[in-house]
Amino acid sequence: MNYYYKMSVAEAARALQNKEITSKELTESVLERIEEVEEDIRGFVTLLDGDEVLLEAEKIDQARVSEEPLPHLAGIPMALKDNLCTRGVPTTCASKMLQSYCPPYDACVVEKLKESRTILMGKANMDEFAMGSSTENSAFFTTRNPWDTTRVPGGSSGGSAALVAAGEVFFALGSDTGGSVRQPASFCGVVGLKPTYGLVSRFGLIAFASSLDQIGPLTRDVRDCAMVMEIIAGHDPRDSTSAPKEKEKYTEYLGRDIKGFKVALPRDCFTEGLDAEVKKVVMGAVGKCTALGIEVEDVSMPHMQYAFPAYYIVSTSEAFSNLARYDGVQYGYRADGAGNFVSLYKKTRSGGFGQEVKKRIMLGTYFLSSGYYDAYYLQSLKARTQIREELQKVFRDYDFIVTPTSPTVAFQVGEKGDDPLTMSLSDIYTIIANLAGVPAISIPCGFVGGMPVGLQVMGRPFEEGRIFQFCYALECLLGVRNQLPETGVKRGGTVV
Amino acid sequence: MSSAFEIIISLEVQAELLTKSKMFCSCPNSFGQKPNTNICPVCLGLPGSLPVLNEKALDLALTAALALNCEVSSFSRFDRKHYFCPDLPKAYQISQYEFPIAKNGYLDIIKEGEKIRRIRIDRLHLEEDAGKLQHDGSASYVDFNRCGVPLMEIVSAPDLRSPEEARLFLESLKRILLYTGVSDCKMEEGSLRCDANISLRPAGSREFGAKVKIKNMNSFKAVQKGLEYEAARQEKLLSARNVVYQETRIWDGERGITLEMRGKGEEKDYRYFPDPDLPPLDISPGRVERVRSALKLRAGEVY
Repeated sequence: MNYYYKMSVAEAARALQNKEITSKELTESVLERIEEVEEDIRGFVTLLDGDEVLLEAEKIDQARVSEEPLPHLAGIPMALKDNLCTRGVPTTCASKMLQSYCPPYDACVVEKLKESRTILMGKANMDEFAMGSSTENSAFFTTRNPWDTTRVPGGSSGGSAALVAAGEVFFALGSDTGGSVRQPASFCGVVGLKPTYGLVSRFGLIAFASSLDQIGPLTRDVRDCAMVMEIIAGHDPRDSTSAPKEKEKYTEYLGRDIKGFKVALPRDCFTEGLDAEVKKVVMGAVGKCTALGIEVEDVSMPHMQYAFPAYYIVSTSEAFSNLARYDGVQYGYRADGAGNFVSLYKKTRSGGFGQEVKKRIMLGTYFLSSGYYDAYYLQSLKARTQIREELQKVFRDYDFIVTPTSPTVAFQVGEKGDDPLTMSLSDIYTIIANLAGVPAISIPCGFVGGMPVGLQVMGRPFEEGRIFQFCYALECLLGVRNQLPETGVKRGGTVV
Repeated sequence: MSSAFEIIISLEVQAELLTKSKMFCSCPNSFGQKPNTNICPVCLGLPGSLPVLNEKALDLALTAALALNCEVSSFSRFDRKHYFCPDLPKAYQISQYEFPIAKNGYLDIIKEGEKIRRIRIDRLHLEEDAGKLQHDGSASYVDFNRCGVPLMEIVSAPDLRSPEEARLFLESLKRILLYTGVSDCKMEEGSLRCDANISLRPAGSREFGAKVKIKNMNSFKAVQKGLEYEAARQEKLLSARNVVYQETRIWDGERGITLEMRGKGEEKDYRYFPDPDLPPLDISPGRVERVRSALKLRAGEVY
């Protein structure tokens, strides 16, 4: 057993380019790791055939031997959240509705990762249709947190985060509608970025809430995140909301001086609901910023109180619409015994969707009903504008807004099963970035009781580069990067 | 028709636009292919697919708007119109609700020996077409080829006063759309479709009666005949002091009658909301001027 799987993306890429290792060895290492821990983690919904994956790795090795030009990340194993369309590979959204669904096309990001010759190991578990914060809403099974398998990995991109943290892949993609990349990154001790709305094409991402959804990387350190973003960012004419931006070299920002950056701490984020120990760790990290020559100041963001209702109205309304197409006619699950169209719809949608998804569809159906539209949807758009303007105001004086990513560390599996509101409240710090469309990252900043704590950094639209610059310095200072838990020997929170 | 009642008619005309490709994807905009051969992930509404507007469709709609003397909106956007039907693969139609491309136009019609009648046009908007259902005994089949074909809907004001005027309006509109190259207007192939709203009121009254929507009139002749039948039906009811219900009826051309289609008084809630996948339409003054200068024939010059 070798330990190649513990390398970061950057380290693995360098070792491959220097021909110190082969992609086959790298992939074998990951396959062995999967063999060792996947039974406990359960991060994959679909795991691709090991022989075929190794065949692809060998092809890349041959190309390297014959000195063919290869992309930077060629030969590096990764995973994709199961709401990203992969041609010929099941894409289920962790729903019974799409359990058998194989898309006939690749998502834009999948095309880009294929062109980069990265190696797809499989599709990662998630909350059904990305609705949830723990993967407990997956129709198939709950993924476990590699730091403590009695706990959830977070969600909805919990499978992606857990696979990266457990060393089963070098990086993964997730999607973030209200914190679905950042919160699991925080819970699993990895880096997770929600890019600026429009920076990464949504073409081929199965929509939850179209005006909030963004695809983002989950990696073991900031450099890896920047490297993956260099691949997946960029304008796509197939997505009308894709920003016409030039490609950026994000890795060039790493290591640049950060003296003079100004950080805003919204005091509304450090009050009730925030776990005292988490607060201590986050404040400790923030305190260290001053050592780097960074100015940190408290700010007030009173409109944040509207974020939660606004998010719930916008996201459920759009979900009602986006999920209306699952009717059993063309593809996916179809209920038996329907006598006519109406009963086909009723039976298929009753049987194919899980509880949480149904709840949100019903909420959205209500919010958009004639007579209620003005009171809910229109109001939430206004609140959204106010939140965006409030952020813009803060960003006139400050480069970044720093908060905890989540008010707590990862909770126990089943702990919040009967209390959906508490579970949703764990998204409270992250939803603002989606409502305002700004970029936000979660990086590990310490531990509470052996569980990782995440720090969130929000920046100005399209300033991902400066976020990387800041977080890379912070990561060096905190010394919390590429830490893998001892999964495989630790079960149920105790070493066995 | 006795002179005791006045007939009030408005038309909702849908014209397929003469674009090369469909409205939101690159599938050819063509007619008469084998079922389900002219389709792609976008027009099938497959999970993860996204629409991108065919700018030619917008130019054609602007052309029609200017030819019909409409005010072109400076702000216009697409909304989603939700309803379940197997021929509607996303379970919503991309359409326009609050902010159509153009409003407040008019079209002049001439009856022989009479003076020109100016018929106001309420609105003109873009939307995508749905597929087609075919029923065979107990089974139903869907042909998705027509999904995403660009449609322009033109809604007239309730200014038409006879079935004949309705036909004249349609004929006049067809000439304009043909000459401007906006649509080929083949009613038999369905590239021009027309629903009519018709109500009667006592002559001299200023209030409108309950209106009935008539569908499935597939030719100019059918429009006139269907409306004549319906006007007579309503007159008979009203003369006998019966009630005309607001409803949708379907024209049965073979039997020459209209039949009840949807339940009476059943208002559908389409839950319109702005489509988050599509930015507002780009209707800059420069673009409108470009379309205007390309427009060779104006509505009034067609005669």
